[in-house]
Amino acid sequence: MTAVSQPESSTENTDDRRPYLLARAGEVVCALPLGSVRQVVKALSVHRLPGSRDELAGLAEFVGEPLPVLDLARLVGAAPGANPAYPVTLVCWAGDGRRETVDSQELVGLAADAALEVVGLDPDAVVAVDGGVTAGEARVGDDVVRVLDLGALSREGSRGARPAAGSPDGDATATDSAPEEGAAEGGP
Amino acid sequence: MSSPTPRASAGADWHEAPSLAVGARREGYLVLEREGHLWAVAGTSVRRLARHRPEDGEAWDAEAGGGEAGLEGPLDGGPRENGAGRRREGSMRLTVAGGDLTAHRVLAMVPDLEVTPVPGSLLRFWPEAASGLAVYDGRPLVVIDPQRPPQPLLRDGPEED
Repeated sequence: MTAVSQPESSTENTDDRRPYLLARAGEVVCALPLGSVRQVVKALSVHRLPGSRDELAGLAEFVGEPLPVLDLARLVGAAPGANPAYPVTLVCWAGDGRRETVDSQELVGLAADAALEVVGLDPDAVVAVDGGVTAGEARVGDDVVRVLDLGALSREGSRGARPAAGSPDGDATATDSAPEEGAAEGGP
Repeated sequence: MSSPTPRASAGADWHEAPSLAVGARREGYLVLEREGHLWAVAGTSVRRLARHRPEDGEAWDAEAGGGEAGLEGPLDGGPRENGAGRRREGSMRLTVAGGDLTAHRVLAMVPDLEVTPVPGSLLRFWPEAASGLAVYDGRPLVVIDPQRPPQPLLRDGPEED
């Protein structure tokens, strides 16, 4: 079900590192705070809403609840990749990822190409950018990844939305499943 | 159910749905389908429900709420050709406070839906108002705000190529 794991070990000082899930969206690799990721699942069946912006892939059903699903590539302005079918849906909390504030959060699905791995990132190493849900960029190995702030989704544009029914409990974040390197269940 | 009664109608081709059996109290939700999308509207907010049948000459209109039982099956007008030769789905028209809604079918009237608030992430990318979201028969849907129905439901007459 998930590809969410403990952060990879590092030879550097890891005291300030925080875990992020890397996910590919088109030509871009995004880093999501691990605490904001509830599950990684095979692509949910999405029903497009007429009149919606391109970033909104549509609505899906997830564990009996309606779930808005966003096109992660469009959300971050990435060019579509070789696999535009987006075989993976990342089910995330659109908040700051802290469990103590989870009651004020809402679930959102992110249609992506793949969930890759969990890495540790030092927040001080994230270079801030002005990009909506993109909080900044950071280097992971030889690659530059876009670090997402999913809280921006619910902060901006919200018209008094309240948390959906079935708000998360303390075990909602799927951090207990050991990942397989480089791939998530539900992937292509 | 009694026979439909002729009434003055805003549109000449709208007729009462003969199998309409919306509960007298109209509690619950009507589940609508238009162009493959599902919507729901609170039964108490529906003022009229009519079927579009342009092949018939007389105009009929009806107020919803004449029956006692729930909806026994989908209501639709059946496909037909319009003047331009395009396939035109039969339509249902529902009148609510914010206007006339047009749908292909009324799939069901359900006594209850578990309606969740519209999340901010949806509002950010969808410019319509809504009362909430729900799931019907495994499919997500939008529960409309009868005061501010979404434009896709207000457009006249769904058509298909």
